[in-house]
Amino acid sequence: MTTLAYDDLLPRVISAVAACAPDDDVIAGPSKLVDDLGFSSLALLELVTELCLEFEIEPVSEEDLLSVSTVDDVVEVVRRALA
Amino acid sequence: MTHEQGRAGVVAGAAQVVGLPGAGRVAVVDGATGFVGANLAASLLRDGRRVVALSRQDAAATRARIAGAVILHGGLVDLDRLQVVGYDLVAPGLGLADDAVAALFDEPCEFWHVAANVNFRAGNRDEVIAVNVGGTERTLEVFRRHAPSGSRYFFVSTAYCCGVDVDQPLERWYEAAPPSAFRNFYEFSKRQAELAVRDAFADGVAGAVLRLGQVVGDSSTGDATTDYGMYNLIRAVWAVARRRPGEHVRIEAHEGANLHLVPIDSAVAWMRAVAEGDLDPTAPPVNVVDRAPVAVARLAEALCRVLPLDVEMVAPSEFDRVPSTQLERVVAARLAYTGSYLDQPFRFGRQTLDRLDPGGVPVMTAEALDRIVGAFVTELMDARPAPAPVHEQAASA
Repeated sequence: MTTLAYDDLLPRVISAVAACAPDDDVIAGPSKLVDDLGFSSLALLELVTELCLEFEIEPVSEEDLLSVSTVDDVVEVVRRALA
Repeated sequence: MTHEQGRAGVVAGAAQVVGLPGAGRVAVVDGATGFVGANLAASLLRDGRRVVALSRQDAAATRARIAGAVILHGGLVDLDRLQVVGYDLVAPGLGLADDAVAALFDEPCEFWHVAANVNFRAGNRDEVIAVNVGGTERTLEVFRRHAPSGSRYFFVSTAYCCGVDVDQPLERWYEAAPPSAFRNFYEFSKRQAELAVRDAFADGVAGAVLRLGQVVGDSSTGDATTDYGMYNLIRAVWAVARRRPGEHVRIEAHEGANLHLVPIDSAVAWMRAVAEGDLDPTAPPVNVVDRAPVAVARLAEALCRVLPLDVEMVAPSEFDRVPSTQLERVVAARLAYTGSYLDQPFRFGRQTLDRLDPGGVPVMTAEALDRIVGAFVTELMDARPAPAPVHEQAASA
């Protein structure tokens, strides 16, 4: 399987994050999901759903979800899932 | 008489409360920008009551939120009777200045503690406890210290704080239990908070605990402004339907699983009926639920009518006979926090509402369910239409 680079993944992850983000804000790699974008627990689950459907990956584990802080972290989770 | 002795926490009892009908009192509502709080405030304003909304948001945003609920339910409302006061549930004294407290409690009131942190993520445990338990204790402290005699305190709780081992939750106080006895820390925190309220009632505070079922949209319009409970399931199904239309998706659920859905207009009507009745200071919490629950299979049918997806609720014993698909695992993951509500049938006791039996309160009919589900899905689809097929995306890139 081809491993997608960060630059390839970031726009698609940002698109998924934007679709689920409770707060309107500029979204970039360092954006913090909870502090900057207002993600609640349910919104994080919605993001997982979007990512699974967008990249056709398995749902991330609770452990992975708890480790997610920034959009860059999400890109890393997706990258690992696709590897 | 000391300052405190004339206040609600020390001397208020049933005899004094009965003589003061709730209909004329000022209502103090915290959590007034939430779904229940805004609709409660709107209902009170519509009936000519003066409302003080305690809010963490600014006054304009709070007024807009309550005005939105007013418009939703129709009728002309004088928002001049609405006052917004900033507060902080986790700050000592609710973060209220002395003059604000004095103005807040210048006459006997109904204090509605509606605010809550509805967060199911285990990592948010401390925050949930601080807001839902600590916040309740602080509202009680402020109420007991400052509310004039004749005031009443109403705590909005959840019917599901009965925990995981109870499938016939009665209207009685439940004792303290460890977090493992609940589906999540939210339920645990509500149980803890209820016990703080019980102690206050035993000490003379007058009021009631109202345990809500799953509050959903308006019975006549279907409109809702909440993402919790049933709506999380709908969003999960919708997310799959917009990207993978036509698929068959099974959701694991107990064969008798049901949802105790309460239209927001009914919830508010029942809450107010309790508040405006003659309160028994020894009365247990009130289950604010509909007479008949909705089977989850019925919800699946309603979803299939409005979404291009074949949704099926499947009992655990049947579910495991066929390997799950990626889509089914995605939906299951989405229900990580709320799927446990599909694990058992509930039969809530509702003696208080049956006894009060306020007339004209809408119940959850099949038509109302279709309306509520349809309104939510329509709103979702308007906000986020289905993505274009991949070949169209490529062509427009």
